[in-house]
Amino acid sequence: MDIAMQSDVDVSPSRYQATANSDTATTALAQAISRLYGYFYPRIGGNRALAEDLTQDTLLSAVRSANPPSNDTELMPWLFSIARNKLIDHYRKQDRERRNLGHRIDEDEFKLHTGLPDLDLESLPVRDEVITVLNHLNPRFQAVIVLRYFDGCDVATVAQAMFLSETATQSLLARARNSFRAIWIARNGDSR
Amino acid sequence: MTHDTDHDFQQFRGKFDSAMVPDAAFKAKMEKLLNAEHQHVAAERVSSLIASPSTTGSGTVVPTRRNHPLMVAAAVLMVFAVVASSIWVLSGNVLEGEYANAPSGIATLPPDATGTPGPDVQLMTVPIDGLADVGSLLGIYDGVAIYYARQPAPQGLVRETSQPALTAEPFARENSLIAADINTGQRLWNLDNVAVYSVSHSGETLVLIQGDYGRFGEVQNREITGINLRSGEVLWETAVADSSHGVANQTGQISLVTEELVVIPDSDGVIRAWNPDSGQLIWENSFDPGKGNEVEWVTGSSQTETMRLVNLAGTLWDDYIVIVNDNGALQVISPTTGETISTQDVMRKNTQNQQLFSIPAGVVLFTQTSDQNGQRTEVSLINPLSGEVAWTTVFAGGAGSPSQAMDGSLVINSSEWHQNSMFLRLLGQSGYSTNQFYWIDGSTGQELLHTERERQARFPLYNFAVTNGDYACIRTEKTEVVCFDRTGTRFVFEADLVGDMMFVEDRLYVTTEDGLATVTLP
Repeated sequence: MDIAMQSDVDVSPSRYQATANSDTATTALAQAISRLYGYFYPRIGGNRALAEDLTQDTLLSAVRSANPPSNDTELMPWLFSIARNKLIDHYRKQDRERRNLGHRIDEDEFKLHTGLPDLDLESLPVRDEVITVLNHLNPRFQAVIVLRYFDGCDVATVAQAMFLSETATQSLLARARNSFRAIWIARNGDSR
Repeated sequence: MTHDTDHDFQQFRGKFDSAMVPDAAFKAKMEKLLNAEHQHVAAERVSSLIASPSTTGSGTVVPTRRNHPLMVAAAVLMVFAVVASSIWVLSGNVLEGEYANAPSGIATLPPDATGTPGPDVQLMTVPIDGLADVGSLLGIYDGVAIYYARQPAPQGLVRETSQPALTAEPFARENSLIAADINTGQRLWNLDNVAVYSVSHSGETLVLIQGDYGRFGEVQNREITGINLRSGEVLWETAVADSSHGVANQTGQISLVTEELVVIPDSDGVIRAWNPDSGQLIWENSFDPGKGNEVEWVTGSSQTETMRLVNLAGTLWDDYIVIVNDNGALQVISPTTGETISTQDVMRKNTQNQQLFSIPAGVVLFTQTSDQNGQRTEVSLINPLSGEVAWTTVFAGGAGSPSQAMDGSLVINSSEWHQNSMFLRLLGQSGYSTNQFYWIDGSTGQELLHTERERQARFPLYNFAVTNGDYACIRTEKTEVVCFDRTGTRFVFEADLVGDMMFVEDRLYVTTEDGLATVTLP
């Protein structure tokens, strides 16, 4: 039955205001594809297919959300909060798989290594190298490095995401940094 | 020069947030998908608006499906229709029927209802070559299912039970380890005449601990064997320990396998680690197995034989090896050197059947005790380095292997034995078991949710209840499996003669009469 034929139903324009606003939101979401893809790509080791999957998951979650933000200025922060949760879920899943199926024990994480040099992160090869080194870390190390230093989360936020105390998170961060430095030095030499 | 601050990592802040242009085909696909999704969502919202007049004005609130009384009524009617029409179609087919395209967003249903899982649930069955010969499902690794086919003992001998053998004859068995591809059902290889203690894998190597069956069914003269997972080629073998002096480890013995280590504590009081690719011994360390339980077994002759049982449990936590023994000690060992880093007294001595499970915050220790009040399980979260107990909670009955959900909660499978009436016991039905699943907060130990107690199928010869953290499933009938998710939503599916079940990540594998079924839960 055509909706408009039902005389007892209010089909005034106000009913479809939500729909019109949703059209604008969908356009904004489509434009966010590139930004989300750019967010995921370096954080998951440069895996394009995985970056596409996470981008798709994020956008579909956003469209299906019952409570989207009411104005455009809130849209991108909201979208990236969804994206970060998807990323954390991805790390947790990888970590669980790693724990279930056996994982590599990295002797280097127990040592202290020389710090990283100042890097030209505007240079594409240097950025690619950082992504490659990150990808060599185990998922838990990747997660804390990304959340703390790529996304700028404080230790409390990282701890909450990793289900750890702040003290344990600090310890995990220290080991992650060590491991990152060890791999960087092994691949690029100690330039300090 | 060493460096233990994070100044060098601060340079990464904000440097990896640039937009990137994805593949043009992906971008086009996403835009199309978003438009289609938007239209679907908008249509649902318009439908719900028509079903119930909303408040006027710009602040119109669109009712969600969960709250609207007409939608709840529709869900109830769907439930009755499911029960009436026996919806599930299985065995080689994708889930069919009226609810193959059911909407998502299922409300929690009463525990005695049948859930409507929605379009994401799929059941695919692949026939396994020679399934009639296939026995217990031991594991699924990288697309290869490992089965253990045990031949029945010849007539006249006592079958393996928990009671001591009443005859001096050894158990006579011909047992085979069988590998099959889970996607094609094709048998890849089989290894005959093995007494299997445990199976795990490291990369492409299947790590098998096997030996000979002893008088009481224990696996003696154990060897670790590395086998190529796909070809069945034996890569290496090495002896574990000589247990011919009468010491046996029957309960709680562990083996831990990673990409670089196979770790086994053994009856001679030594923990050893081998390289899983070469079988080379890497390190060994002593441990105190505790006083254990001295047990006397009566054989067919008047001679008694004393066997010493060592109860152990172990796990890998934060790359450390953590072992707990029945002396009440929790031992942390370096995986690289084998050195003991710390030993803590964490529990009462002479407890039974302890299990260790690793979560990021520490190790979860399960210990079972029995007294005049029945069996109960204590669960504690412990920092293995400091021995600090973060929380302890107690469950009635026994507890099966726990698992962790994506949100960090733990699901615990609590089982209880119920004795039948004298009349039924005379008919040979001594009792039955029930299972109940608890989800608890991994950080605090507080209960989040528990399911109703479900009765197990009779003669649970297989893995009757399995969990993966986000889901918990129990075989309630020969052909029925009941699953719960961590919101308490209940799902039921059927298959022809449900056998072993096993979770691998988010997929449930079920051995059925027709083959190996893969169940993808929503």
